[in-house]
Amino acid sequence: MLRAARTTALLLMLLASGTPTAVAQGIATDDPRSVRIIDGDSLQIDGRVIALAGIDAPEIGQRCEYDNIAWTCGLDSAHDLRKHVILGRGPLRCRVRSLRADGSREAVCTLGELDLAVIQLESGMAVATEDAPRGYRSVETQAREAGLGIWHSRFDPPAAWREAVRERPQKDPGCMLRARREADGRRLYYTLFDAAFEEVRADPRSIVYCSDDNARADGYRRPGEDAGE
Amino acid sequence: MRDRDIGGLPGLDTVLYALGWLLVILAAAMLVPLLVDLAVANPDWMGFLGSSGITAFFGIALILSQRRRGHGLSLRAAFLLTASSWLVTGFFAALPFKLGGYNLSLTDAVFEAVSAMTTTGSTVITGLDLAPPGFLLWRSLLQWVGGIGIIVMALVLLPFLRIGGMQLFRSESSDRSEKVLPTTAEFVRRLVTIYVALTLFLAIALRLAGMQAFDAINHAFTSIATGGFSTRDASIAAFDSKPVQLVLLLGMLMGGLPYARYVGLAAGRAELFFRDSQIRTFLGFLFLLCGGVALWLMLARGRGPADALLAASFNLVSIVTTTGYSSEDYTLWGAPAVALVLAITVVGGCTGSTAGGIKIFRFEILWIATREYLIQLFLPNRISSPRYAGKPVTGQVIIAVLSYVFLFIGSWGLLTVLLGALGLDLVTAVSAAATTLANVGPGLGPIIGPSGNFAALGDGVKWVLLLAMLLGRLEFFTLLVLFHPQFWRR
Repeated sequence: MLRAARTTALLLMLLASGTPTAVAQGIATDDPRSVRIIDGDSLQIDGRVIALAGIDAPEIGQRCEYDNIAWTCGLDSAHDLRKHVILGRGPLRCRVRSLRADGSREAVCTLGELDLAVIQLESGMAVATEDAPRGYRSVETQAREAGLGIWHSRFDPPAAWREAVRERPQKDPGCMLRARREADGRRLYYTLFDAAFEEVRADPRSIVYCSDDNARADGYRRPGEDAGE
Repeated sequence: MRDRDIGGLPGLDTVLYALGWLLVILAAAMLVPLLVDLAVANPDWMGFLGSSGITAFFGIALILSQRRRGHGLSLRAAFLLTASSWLVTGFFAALPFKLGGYNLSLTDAVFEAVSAMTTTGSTVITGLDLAPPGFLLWRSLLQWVGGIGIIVMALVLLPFLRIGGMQLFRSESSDRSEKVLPTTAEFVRRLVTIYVALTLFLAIALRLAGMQAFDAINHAFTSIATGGFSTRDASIAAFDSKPVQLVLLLGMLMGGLPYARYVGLAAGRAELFFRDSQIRTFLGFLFLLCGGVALWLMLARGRGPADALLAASFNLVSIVTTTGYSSEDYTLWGAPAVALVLAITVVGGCTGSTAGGIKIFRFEILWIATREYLIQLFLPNRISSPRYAGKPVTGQVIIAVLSYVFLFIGSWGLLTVLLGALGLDLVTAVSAAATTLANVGPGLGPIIGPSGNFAALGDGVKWVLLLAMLLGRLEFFTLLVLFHPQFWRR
């Protein structure tokens, strides 16, 4: 009960903090298995790419360091989000707050009474963004103090890591994102959760990306993605 | 012929000798996933080779260092062998996790191995869907072995090594089942045969239900062992198959029943099975529990009857049998369901099964004791001789059960406080303590609940939890006696 009340309060705060250009739009699905996970803070429902508002998860190719081991925190964050979505059994509802320049939508997504962003923060698999509501920050603080997830490791903030990675060629085969120009001219990027990923990965024409944001910034889009508003 | 003493403890040489053989067997078991990885050209086979070599080295060294043969096993040595076999094999079983491609930290490797061998099923691994086959098979194989207990392997070995020990089996298990066969060795042989037969049956059934062969074998291992490891991050939800859920439901139920009764069934003593009080109580409890929750899901959550019944049955049987599979995130059913799940986490299966928890037998004894005490309050001169399964329920039995329950609840409380001090929130701390002591697997909440895992937790928390798994699996006393100074004196 307390948890549901906290989640509702966080949602109201987040929605109220939306920018003047917030798009009051709902995206929903009753079948979470149809949702495609992109990374720990991004997913695709039908043709819409959604970035969970208020959080930033390690990028898919990012690693965090603990005990001299560089572990795949970005990949693990994505796997965790996927697991929550599959086991949640739906419905998954997203309330769009804004449209980004790259065509994705920033939204608050809930599975039943649970806010997906809060779930990622609680288990330490994402950080709260600067514009996140105070409630998100307190959840992040709890996870940090308990040393959960990425907080028991050394890691670069995802935003800084993205920028650093943009500066250098991305050749790390551990980055589970591949992009290529399709035969019909479309520029698409695939994650390891896509059925076509292995085929694309084996294609010598495909390009390695360690961050979906960087792929989108270079003009690549998800298979089946709408052109956007 | 007296046992050779080492350091004041009679029979320590026997313990070391038996441990050596356990390690040799473990080293041989590592060759199975090695061969699987070789077959698919996965380089992890080198990690298994190295692990097998190291484990075999220590095993052979222990064997060769103890040259006596044909001695008995004293009571204290039996306790020591039981506890040390889990501790030692747990650590060596972690080697492939450390030396293989996953390169887990020491903490994570030991946690995963102990979770497997104690058939707890809490995992620190993410990305199971993409994990190499040898790695997945090792996890499942460890659970299968743990299910019947390294102790049973020791019992199979002991006749061959001319070391007797029915007291060993009793010291590890809370089983109070009567013997149905004349000798321990024969009993254990039948036990292992039945265990293997049930595993094969489940593997075939899962294949027929639509699982790929590799997944079917792995889930047959982990369901009969009531361990709960899956080859998928999303557990059984990933398969999205009602036939698979039904077969696994059967497997979990079979794993949660007393194996002595299967031995009796195979020996033509079916009446022992059908008249067993524990089996009746266990199945009756599950019937009421699953039926009640299914009804609630229909009325309060608007789910269809078949869907509600399957969801309730699968997930609740999974928890009560301490398996830990999930077909959905049942914590999303609502607060009443969450409270119920926490309560039934500690119930457990039947004594003499692969399940953990407090166990049905103890609740029956406590019920008998409470009923007798209640009657004595208004009939103080009444003389009664309560019985259970045809045997007298003596004061010693009641004291043993009460002591166990006291230790369980006390440990639960202490662990909760300790985990809270290490930074966990209340729901995570309470459920983590319960699920590891009872060897269930998933806890509650988004971090360690059915849609979470234990990877996110800090090292200190993981060490506390894996010790809790061992404490629960060894039913407290087997481990605690080692801490009593008198245990080590001549």
